[in-house]
Amino acid sequence: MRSAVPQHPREIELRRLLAGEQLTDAAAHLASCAECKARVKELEDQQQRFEGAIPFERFAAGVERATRQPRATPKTTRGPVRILIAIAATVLLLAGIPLVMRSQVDGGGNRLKGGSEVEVVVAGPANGPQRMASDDPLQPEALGHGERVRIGFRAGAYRYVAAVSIDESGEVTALYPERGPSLRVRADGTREYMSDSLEFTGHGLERVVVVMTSEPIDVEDVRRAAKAGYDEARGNLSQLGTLDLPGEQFHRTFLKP
Amino acid sequence: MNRPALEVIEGGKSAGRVWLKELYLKFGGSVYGRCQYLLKDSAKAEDAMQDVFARALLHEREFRGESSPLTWLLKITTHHCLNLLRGDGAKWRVQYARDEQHRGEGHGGPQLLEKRDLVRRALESFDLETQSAVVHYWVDEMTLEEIAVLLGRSVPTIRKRLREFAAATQAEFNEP
Repeated sequence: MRSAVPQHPREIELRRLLAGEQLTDAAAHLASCAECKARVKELEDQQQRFEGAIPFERFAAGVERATRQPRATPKTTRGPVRILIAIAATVLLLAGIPLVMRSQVDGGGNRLKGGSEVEVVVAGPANGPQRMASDDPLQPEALGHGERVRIGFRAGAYRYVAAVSIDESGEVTALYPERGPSLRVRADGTREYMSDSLEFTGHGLERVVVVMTSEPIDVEDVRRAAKAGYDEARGNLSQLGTLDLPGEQFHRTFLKP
Repeated sequence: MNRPALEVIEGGKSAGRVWLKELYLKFGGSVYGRCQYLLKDSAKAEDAMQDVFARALLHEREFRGESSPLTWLLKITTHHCLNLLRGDGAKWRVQYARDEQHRGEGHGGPQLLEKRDLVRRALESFDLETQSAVVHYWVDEMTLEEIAVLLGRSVPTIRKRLREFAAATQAEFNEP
């Protein structure tokens, strides 16, 4: 039978030491044992590899999603990374959103100079509860299976709007419009919602960028700027900065199921 | 106009992010490593890891009261992953077959499997409690007493489970 106090600390003891637990005998041994120091170094490397593979923002968003939507059964194979546009049913589903959300945004939210703002509403696959997505691009909004998002905005002094999304592999998708010049907004500055909702498929992070301008720009220019930003961030969406574009832009990040 | 009854719920933000960051830095690598070891699939491992930490968040008081938070997390992680594998039995067998074929081609055959691989490979034919005991004994290197406390069983029960596993797999088990 193995001893509870062996000559070398056991792996579980080394892990506990690394986690900050007080294990006097193991700590004393470790201080003078090169072999155990090497094992500890391996464990530290494991933690570093983990942090490299799964950044904290992604980790936190995934955990928070799991608290809301526990997985009870093994998951099926993931589908290809692409964006589905769910139109008819979702338009009906989200028809009442502006009335529901207005009071929250008007109370603070992400209002910027000129009165322009963006809000993204998340809705489940059925007529379930809805919520406002995180407005901090460094805190991704975790999406459950079948959840859709709908982009709302108030353009303020701006007259045109366009939106693209970019995933972790660097694939940029033109959302609104899918091609051509950016969309003309209402002149009265009231809140509008994009014509349909979006469902992201695939895995990992997805960054949505909404750009408002005074003059129309081609969505292809937005797409190119997003790609350049992605390359500059070396593929780390958490590091994606402001795109080199005129006007004002709003970034939102989602963690896909 | 049709206006369905809509309920707005909060999302995306958490008051517990500071604590979550602490969990991430202290235990993330160990928990994710255990998930990868058992599930052999990075996407499933990440999902499982999220489930485990979600449970820690939902049972914060219980978690904070543990004398060894890491041991508690590894217990939850091991149990959760083994459950996932049991619910995915066919894929488990396919995975082993593929591992064995791969090793046979590139590394001289299954005889070169390391101890931990052997342990994992043999788990399928045992009940969940034995599986948990085996992982904690051969992978975490816990003592019989520690495993007994962790799993809420007596030392003789744990010894019996491990003895059965060792006999069936010829794994080295130092009898007390």
